[in-house]
Amino acid sequence: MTQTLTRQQPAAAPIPTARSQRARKDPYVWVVLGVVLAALLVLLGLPVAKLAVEAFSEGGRAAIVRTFSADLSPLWNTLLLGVLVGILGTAVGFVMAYVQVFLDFPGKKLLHALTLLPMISPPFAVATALITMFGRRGIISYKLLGFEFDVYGLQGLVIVIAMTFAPLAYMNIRGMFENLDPSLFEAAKALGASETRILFRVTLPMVVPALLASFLILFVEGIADLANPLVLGGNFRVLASQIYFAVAGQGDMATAAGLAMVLLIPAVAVFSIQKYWANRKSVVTVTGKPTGVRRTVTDPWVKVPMLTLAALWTILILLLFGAIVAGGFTNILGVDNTFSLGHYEFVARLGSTAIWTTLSMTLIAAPIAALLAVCVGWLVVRQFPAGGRFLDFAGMLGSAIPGTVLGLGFALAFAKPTWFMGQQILPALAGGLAVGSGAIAIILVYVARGIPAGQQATIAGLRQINPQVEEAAVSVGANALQTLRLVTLPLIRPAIVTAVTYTLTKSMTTITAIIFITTPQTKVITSQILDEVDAGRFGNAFAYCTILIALVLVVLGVTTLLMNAIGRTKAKTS
Amino acid sequence: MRNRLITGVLASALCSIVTLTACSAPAGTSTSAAGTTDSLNIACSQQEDFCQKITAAFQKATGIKSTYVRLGSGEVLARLQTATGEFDVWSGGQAENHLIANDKGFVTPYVSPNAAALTAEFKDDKGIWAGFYTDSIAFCSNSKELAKLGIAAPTSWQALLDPKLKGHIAMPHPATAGVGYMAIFTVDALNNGDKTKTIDYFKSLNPSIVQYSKSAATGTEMAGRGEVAIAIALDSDCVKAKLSGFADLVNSYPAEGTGYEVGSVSILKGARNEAAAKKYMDWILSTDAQNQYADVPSYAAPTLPKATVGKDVPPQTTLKKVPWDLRKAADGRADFIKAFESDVAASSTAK
Amino acid sequence: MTLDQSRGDLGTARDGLAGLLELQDISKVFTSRHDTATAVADVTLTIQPGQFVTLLGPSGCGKTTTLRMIAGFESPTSGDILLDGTSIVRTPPNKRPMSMVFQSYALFPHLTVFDNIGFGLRVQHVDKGERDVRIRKAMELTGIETFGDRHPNELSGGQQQRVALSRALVMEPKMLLFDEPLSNLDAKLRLRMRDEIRAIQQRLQITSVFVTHDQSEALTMSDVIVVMNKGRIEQVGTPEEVYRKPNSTFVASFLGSANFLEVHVVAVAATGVAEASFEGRLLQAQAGPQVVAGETATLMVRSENLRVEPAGSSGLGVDGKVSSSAFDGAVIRYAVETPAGILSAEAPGTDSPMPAGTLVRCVFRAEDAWLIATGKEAA
Repeated sequence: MTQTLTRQQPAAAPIPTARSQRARKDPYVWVVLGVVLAALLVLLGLPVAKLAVEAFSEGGRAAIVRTFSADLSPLWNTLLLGVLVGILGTAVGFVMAYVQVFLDFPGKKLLHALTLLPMISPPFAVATALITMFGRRGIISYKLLGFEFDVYGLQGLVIVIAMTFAPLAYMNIRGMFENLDPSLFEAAKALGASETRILFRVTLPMVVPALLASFLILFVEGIADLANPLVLGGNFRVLASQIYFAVAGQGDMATAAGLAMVLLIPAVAVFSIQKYWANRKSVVTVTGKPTGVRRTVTDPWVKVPMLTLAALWTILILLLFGAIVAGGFTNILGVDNTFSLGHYEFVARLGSTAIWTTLSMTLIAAPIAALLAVCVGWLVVRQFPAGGRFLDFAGMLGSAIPGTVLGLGFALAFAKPTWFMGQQILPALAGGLAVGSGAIAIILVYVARGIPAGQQATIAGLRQINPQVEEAAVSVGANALQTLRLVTLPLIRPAIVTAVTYTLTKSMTTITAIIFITTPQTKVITSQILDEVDAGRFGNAFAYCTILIALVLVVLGVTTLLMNAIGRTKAKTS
Repeated sequence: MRNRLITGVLASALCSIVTLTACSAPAGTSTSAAGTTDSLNIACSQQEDFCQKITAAFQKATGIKSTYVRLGSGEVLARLQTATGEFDVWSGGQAENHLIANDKGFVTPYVSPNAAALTAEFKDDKGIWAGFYTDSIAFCSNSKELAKLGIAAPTSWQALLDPKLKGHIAMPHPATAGVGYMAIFTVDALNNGDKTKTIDYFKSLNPSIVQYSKSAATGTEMAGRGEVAIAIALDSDCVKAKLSGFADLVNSYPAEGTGYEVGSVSILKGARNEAAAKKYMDWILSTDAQNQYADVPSYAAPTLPKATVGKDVPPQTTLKKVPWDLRKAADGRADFIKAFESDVAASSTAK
Repeated sequence: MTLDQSRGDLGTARDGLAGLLELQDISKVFTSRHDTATAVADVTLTIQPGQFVTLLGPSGCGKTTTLRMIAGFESPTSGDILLDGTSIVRTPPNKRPMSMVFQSYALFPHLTVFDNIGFGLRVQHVDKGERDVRIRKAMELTGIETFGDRHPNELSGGQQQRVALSRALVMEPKMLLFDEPLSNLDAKLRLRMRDEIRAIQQRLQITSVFVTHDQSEALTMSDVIVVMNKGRIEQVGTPEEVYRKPNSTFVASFLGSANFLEVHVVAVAATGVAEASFEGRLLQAQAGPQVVAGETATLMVRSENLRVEPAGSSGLGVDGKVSSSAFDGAVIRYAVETPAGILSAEAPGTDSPMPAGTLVRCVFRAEDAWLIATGKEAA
């Protein structure tokens, strides 16, 4: 018999009938795919396409050429900033994660919370607090310690941006630490290695993938940041602020789009590398259930320096966030420290609508983002395992595209109605004249920025569920949507909670992505903060920031409780 | 196979993006929402609290429902480009910016009957703009910091080049803050329009500048805090900051002449509520309205001779001012900002 | 026809519940970026209503892929699948009247046993009263009536598999599909579950397709065994047929332990008995298909049918020397060095073992020997 052939040339494979046989996917899958693709098209495709068209207009091309020739410094500065933020943020993340996982000391939970706190930094908050505390006339640096520290420019920017995004590195690295097999350390110990040696020869090398991933994430955040360079940049010019000056100063959309394109390249490139890395990482990571119990490291040569570094960082966080809170209750923190409720009166008078608008837009965006994120993740893992990586990539672009760039794209794409083949398919969504007074565009930005986190969590969650569980549901008659709703979703609930909370946090604190599309009718807290910082009224800004932080914490708490409660009752009554 | 399939789907999605972007509205179709509303949308280029109080006062005086968004002049110009008809009236910002807006076709000229009371420098004969407040550029210094540096409050543009001031001055970025451009144009006026000389001046000033702040008020705040010794700012902003708690601030003026702004109002093209916009212009040019500045409080001077001037408002009439050629200021803006970006700001990193 | 129409009292055999399945020349080619791999090639098979059919073969032989194509989780690259005469290739898996029992049980961890079993009825919108009755019945059938409120993680492996079985049975499917359902269970439980599954299947007369690589499972449970290798069907037959009359050395060696002798066929009688020469000695055996006189063939004798007799015995067989012997309780296993290589043979455990080096003759009865045409050898 000639059955030896298990591999055939493609030509020899019985392909002719394949086409007619294939289309047997559950129709709902196509519906979901269609909805997801349409959503991604509106959220990302259209803005980026419009941006590209504008960028390759004459003015845009000139700006691109200039960036690479006559005026290289913004590009160079941007990359330098990204690299330094990546290094500092990752280092901090490593130390905080190490302390959290390997050391034993009182107040561990509190330290964890404080490490994560900067995730909810409103824009400008950390930067203005840094000026107040550590500026040339800062309360700590000058008034207490008596030296002049120049926070303006690169050094200040690196500290501030690294602080804001170090929590991402912390979570990443900590997750990897926890998955390391404790027997590795026992083996190293048994072979007589000292704790310091273990740290540098075992612990550090084992988490290199997480370190690299963190570095790349922080690099992208660093090059994309707009708010901090505006406040703290000094004469350090970066692409993001150049884009802003082009739009806000000259209304020069072509130049802005050109610069945005330049910024988009390293961001997406680095993101692609990181994505590729993350995929490879899963192969090399030590997987499986850890065996044995992790021992804590007690060697003072490791413990003391690590704890000291962690303590210093935590003190810095406490000082800056303390300044934010205190700044809201004093006349001018650092100049006139009399207690005052004036800033809160101001916020109550002028900002209450902004608070409600922000809150409601966020609460609308979060579930939509979560739903789309879950759909993308599900399509990627379960329905199109081969082609899905394109979809995965597309969804992740929401965070890979710098906020400034995305916001600019939105302004370009949705300020006017969208036309297709002579038919108006979308009304104007951005700007004060738009449907919903521009709120829709802002919500869409929130959604676009919120998808990636949920998508990642969904994909990770789904990969941990045996596909047979879902096949079992299909096998007893459930269609794709029923399976998704009744089996898959309940099983990846933690991922969905992550998605919702992340969207909430990110939306409520973003400024860069919406700076070009805020409108008079739709006031947002972060743009109010920008106005106050612009007006030099840090006190009002601090009051807004404090309220925003409190608001985020409350919303996060309520959401988590709610989602858990829903999950529990659902599991019981189904 | 699925691989190929989804690639196909994505490819067609990409194609439709391209088609979508290539397709604009068919000719003859209006893209701006037409029609009228009974509320008034104000683009307000003043400080938030001024915008809020003035808008409320107008609403109270006329019963017209009004909303505002606070935007810098540059931002307003940018917004007008992308979304015509979003605002009915533009309140605040230097007259030359209103002139630029008119050049681009964003303004509907309207000569308010109340403009008759204004002196010539505060109004446009064709009704493109009319001034409702004025203030001037000053050196807003922190007296304590000056004492530390051992120098007196500067009284000339040259004094700013004192090497002792290296890294101690804040100046607003001309692209985003009108005051930044005013400073450049003032120096240019003193140089009789010699652009090279002007740019050279700012190049030599550059080492003294800590930061080209996004807004003018940020500079006064930095001076008040002592982060810098001097901020190039508006005298009204400086007084405002001083009275809000930055007690060490003092204004000084360049003796050779300083620039001034005429904060103006104009009716915007495509206004959905043009009648209300005109009413707003009439109202803000009334003595009644301008008498209220002192209550806001705003420290810019009213333009109407009969309006009450608040006690802390820096006197404007006694200052030596440079001749302010609006047309030139308007026309030169884009070039100056470009030159500033490429020759002045770009030299920062080289220093 | 819908599931509701076919609903009846669970526990009795009914016409119309058991389905007739036909696989017509189905193939499955997996295409990756670099190459293509044929998982299933030209499989044609008819499964009669009520039959218990086992797909048996080593891992990678295409048995699971075939099952998944029947279930609808994979679609054939070519060929057709008919259920009761109607093509179901384009019917999505949830619309096929079949239920699957998985190797990993695949229970819904967030649902109780009761809800796990009722899941299919719930998504089919069967009303609650009827649903409860059917769930209870399905639970009784597998003996898990008391576990309704528990969650899967509170059950043992065997209990979990019973839940999975109940979940499939409650749908009253035309076909039950089993994907190595017993391989995660320990040896003893595996034996018990075999009997239970077979008993339930017999009682309900549900057409069943059972995938396994365990020959003993296949032999004890099936009406029909389909032996697969490298994506193709090697042989289809009753357990006795595939065991006694394998049509390839692959089938012969996959099921049980077999000895092979290369022989020259001298004559084939009309009765099916053939004469073949080996090392100049004439042997007798049953002729398999396509065995013709004048050609070479492979003679297969099962170890348990190869007896070891002292050298010089008169029986038909092959001479050799004992190279090792092992006492295994009921039998003694011998390895005998012969011109045909090492043969394995057995003797009753009550005999006294012959030491290594003893010269012996391995003999067998003509009806226990089976000739396989040489062309039928597995590559």
